[in-house]
Amino acid sequence: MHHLVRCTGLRAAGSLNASRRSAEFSTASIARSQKESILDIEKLLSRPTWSVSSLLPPKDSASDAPEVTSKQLHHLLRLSALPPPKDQQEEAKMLSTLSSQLHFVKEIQKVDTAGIEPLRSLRDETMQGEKEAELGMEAMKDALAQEEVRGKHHKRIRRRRDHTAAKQEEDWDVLGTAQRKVGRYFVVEGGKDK
Amino acid sequence: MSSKIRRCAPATLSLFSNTSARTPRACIVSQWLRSRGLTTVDSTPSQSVPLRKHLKDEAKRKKAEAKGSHNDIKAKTNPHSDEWKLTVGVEIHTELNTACKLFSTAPATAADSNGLPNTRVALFDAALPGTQPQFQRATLLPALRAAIALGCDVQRKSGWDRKHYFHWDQPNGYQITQYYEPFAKNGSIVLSAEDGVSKTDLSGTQSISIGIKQIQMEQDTAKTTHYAPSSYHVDLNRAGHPLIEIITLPQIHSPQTAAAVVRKIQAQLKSVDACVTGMELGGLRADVNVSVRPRGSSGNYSYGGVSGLGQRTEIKNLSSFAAIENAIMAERDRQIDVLEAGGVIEGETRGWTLGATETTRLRGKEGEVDYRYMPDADLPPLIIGSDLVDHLRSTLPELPDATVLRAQQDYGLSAKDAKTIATLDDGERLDFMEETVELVLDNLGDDQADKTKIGKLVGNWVLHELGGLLATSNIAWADVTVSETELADIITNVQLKRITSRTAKQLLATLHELPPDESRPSVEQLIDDGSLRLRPLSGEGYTALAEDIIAENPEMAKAVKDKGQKGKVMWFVGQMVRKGHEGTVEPEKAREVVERLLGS
Amino acid sequence: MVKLWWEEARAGCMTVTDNDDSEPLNGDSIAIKDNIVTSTLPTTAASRILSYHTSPFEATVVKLLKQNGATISSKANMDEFGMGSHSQNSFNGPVLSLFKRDGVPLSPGGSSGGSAVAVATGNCWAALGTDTGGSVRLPAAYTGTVGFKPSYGLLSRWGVIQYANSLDTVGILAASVEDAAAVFSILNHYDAQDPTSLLPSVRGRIAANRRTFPKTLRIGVPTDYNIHELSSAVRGAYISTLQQLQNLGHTLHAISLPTTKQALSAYYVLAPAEASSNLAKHDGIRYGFRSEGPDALPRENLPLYAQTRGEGFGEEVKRRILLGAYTLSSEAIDNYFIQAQKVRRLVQRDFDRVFATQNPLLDSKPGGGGGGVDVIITPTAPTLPPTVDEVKKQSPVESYMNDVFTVPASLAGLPAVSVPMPLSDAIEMEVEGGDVKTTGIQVIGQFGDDELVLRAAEIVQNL
Repeated sequence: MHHLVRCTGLRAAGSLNASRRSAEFSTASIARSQKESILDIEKLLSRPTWSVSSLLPPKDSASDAPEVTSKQLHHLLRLSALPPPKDQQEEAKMLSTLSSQLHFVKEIQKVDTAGIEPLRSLRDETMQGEKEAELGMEAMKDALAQEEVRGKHHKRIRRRRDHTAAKQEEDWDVLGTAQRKVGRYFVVEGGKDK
Repeated sequence: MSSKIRRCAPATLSLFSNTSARTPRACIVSQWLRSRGLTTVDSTPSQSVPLRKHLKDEAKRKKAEAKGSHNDIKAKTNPHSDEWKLTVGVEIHTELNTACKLFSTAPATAADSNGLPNTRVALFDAALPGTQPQFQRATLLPALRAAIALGCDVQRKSGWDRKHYFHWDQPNGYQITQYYEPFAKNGSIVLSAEDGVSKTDLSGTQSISIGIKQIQMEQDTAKTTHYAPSSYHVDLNRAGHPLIEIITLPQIHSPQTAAAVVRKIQAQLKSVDACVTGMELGGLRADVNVSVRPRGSSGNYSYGGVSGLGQRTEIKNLSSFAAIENAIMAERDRQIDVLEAGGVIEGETRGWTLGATETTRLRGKEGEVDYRYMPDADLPPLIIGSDLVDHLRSTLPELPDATVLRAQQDYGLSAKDAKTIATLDDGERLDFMEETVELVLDNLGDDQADKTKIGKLVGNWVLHELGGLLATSNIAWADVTVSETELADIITNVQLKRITSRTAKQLLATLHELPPDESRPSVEQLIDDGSLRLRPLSGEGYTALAEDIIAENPEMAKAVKDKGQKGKVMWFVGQMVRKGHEGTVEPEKAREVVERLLGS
Repeated sequence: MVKLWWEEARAGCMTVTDNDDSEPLNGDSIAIKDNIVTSTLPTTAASRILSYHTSPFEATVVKLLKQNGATISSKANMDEFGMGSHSQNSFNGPVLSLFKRDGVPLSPGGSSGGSAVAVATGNCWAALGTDTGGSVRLPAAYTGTVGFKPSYGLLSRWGVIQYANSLDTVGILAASVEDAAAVFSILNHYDAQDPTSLLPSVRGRIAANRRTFPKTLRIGVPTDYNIHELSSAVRGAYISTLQQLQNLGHTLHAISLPTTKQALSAYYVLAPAEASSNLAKHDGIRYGFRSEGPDALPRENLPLYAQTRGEGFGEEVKRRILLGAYTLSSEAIDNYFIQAQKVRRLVQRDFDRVFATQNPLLDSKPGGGGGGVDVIITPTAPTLPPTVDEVKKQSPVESYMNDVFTVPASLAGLPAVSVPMPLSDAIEMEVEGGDVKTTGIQVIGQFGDDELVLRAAEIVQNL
């Protein structure tokens, strides 16, 4: 087992004695299932199956990634609120990097994904989960309790305004982290000429 | 500075300056100040004017302004507009009536707090690193009611998407909205002539139906104040407040109808408590899409599934009904001018300021701003239960059309009065009226029960008499001290001819002035104390009184008797009323007696 | 050059506070990666744009550690905003590994390099990191420590500065699997403030379906991880590990995960795209660094916030934001962003096809049938750590290749541990003193099978 240097002041890891644990399993190893064949790992891994460098754009020949024009680059930089390149050299570098990145990721277009539902986030996608997430009468009962019916003849449902919001986050200093402010306002300077 | 400088009218320098045609030219001092990027605007908002009054004044001012500019605009209408067909679609953004924000627990309104900027801000609202949105489910109720009131299909599953753009009012650098899967679709709203639809749009039918493409929930932006030349003060109190965006189909064909649609939608939303602040108070804003095409022809564009339209432009942030009408008219005229001169319409975003005569270009082609809509990976899809939708539908408060109809049919109110009372004081006035009617009918007993007759009578009292008192004393309905019982007693006494209507009005005024405590006298008490009861004069009493006055005024008597000047009979009646004890002489009876005595 | 106050804190963390013995972590010192907010120490995410930012609130995971008696020793240096595989992209200066080759420091791995080195040098008992595409496992492999990435959604992300929110996972670096497991159990709780925190009902479902730990493990060996670039040192350790496991009676099974090839590309579409969105909030107005002068200079073609962001973000961050903007743009989104999300689904399906445990996030597929594997074992990285000079020579895209073995488990949100395994004697003779003596071996389990993965990792560790 790999040991690490430790400071004396720190607690030692409380794990089982490693060698004792090994012994436990080596006896078990004798009772190996005859049905399961032993996998020849060396053989299995003798031939590599693919090369990750194949995703890289070729050094000399032209890449078949979509061409990004200077105009597009400037447009993307504006959309990202990033400054335009300061000179031709920087622009060329940006275009080349973007091009190589696009070449690298182009691999995904080689897969047929017809009829495949995109995976947007790792969350409960079961029917049960959907039922639990459903906002129906039960889930909304607290919210419904915040309403009342006003009027005797002309009945109207109205949200109660008498009490303040149920739970509030602790008060915090909203302007405390701002570098610049004017009174109780954040301030943005648009830079237009006077 | 020399004495030649014209004195500056304070209104000129105000941020809320009146820009209608009658504004005096800015004085030299203010121009000098402006050229140096200074302003004499008081940068701290005045706290002295009570809010309600201020808002009321603002609403009044806006109304007056709008009327003024409306007339200006009308005069400039393109004479060729009949040859062109106008098509308009409306997008309404309205603040939902909720206790807290859409994705945080920060309070939505400054209920008890001080109203200071940047106080109703949760960590997420300020987009602090490491914060995440937490959907506040209570915000769903007003949104659902809005969707149901507008006849939409509520989608069981809808999503949350980020709309990316940089602006000082967008702390996250994106707005969370529902671009790909909105929660409600395919609704409609029906309008008739009473709603302000233009006759041409109705073209012979009773009503038209405007389709609603979808409704989506989204975050509101922060509030910013502009200080020339380009400083912006940002207040995050409003950032993250829940909004719904209602998108109509492009099926509107006149500016009037467009304004009518927005007005009606606002009324529907208020009646179901989905939103409480209307356009007048800044709680509702509209964007419009305008296109024209030669009448009888078909254009190349299709929007929202409606095809054959011309290229459209968008006018953003219209904040009054009049502005909607005027901006559409101005844009229609501009487009017609361009097309008639052989030009093409650019698909662009334009702006409108109050008092302007033409829209101004704000942004280029629709393609120039790429919002890169991306589903928000933090938020799970919104799943709405059908049981909730069914419950809300079956308990939906009465919509304005139904209320107006009921007020007319059940209570005999005129169309105009019914429309007024239906939305006055959030329906409290109507409820008051209905309770009063019930009490009066109880007092009178079954044999006097003509509900519509009493209804009309009570309606009149509640709207005009009580309404009049409210106006002159400048108080709100919530502060009215007169109770339904008191009004019912007054009206009952009039119906039973125990007091004159003049007395009744005085009683109402008296009670209106009194504070609401236990020592408040009852109507009966007041009548007794003031000896106001109509002690009906006996037939002999009338005759005696009439004879007295006739004797005192022989010339007048002669005029009626001999010269046949019947009009003067009423003069005698007046004299009798004045001479008799307060409230004892009924004009009708008096007239009969005088006519009898003077043989007419 | 290491971050100044990190060094100061290092001196301070040696003392153990006199805490109540009943608290599970009993004064243990824990370093926190600098993209997890703390309310006393600043949180900069190793970026100029957050230099000297002190968060007004504390991350849930930090709160839980303190409640259980831990001492927060320091904030650990990292790649800016988590973007990088070598912890060399930091405004505070690169992270220095304790290892070197021919006198040149090695890469400590990234982006949680600071956390890994802190543990490896014994400066703290354990450390928190974040793992988006391998950022806890890779530094663990490069520094000879244990790096655990739990299933997505188990540990709260409230207070974790977002890089790619559908991938970000709080991870743990420690000297042993048991230590990592101890920290995990403290932090493994539902947090309502994090909308992606796995609901109690799902956690309950996972617990109810948990199988008893098998006497012998069925271990999947994916042929798709056998790439040309796998160095002989790593290959040797990997084969040795598998053979030893087999000798103990565990069974090895060749499996196919065909979408492995596209997984890396899909990751580099999704992560930068989400990053470009998550980083849009950094404009200097409400917190952080703000450039001198106005926020926009229309005359110099600088749109709103561009100067602050241009000066505040490092080069790698800007490169990824730009890539993200491209793949989300209306012309490209279908073929890039959405396509990548579909590929992500295929990666998830690849794993579901081979694991014995049903994926708790999805309804059971019909006709499951037996024969699945309990865990999958792969190398953590294709090679031993490069030197920092070699890293400098790499193009931005070349450094992406280090993540090839860690990214698939990230895309599917699976629990994965990197355990340091000794290099074979032959290799050990080649490497000189100062160089690494171990390489990382990765144990991957089905979603929710964190307990199983940790126990399997313990077995590997104890070989």
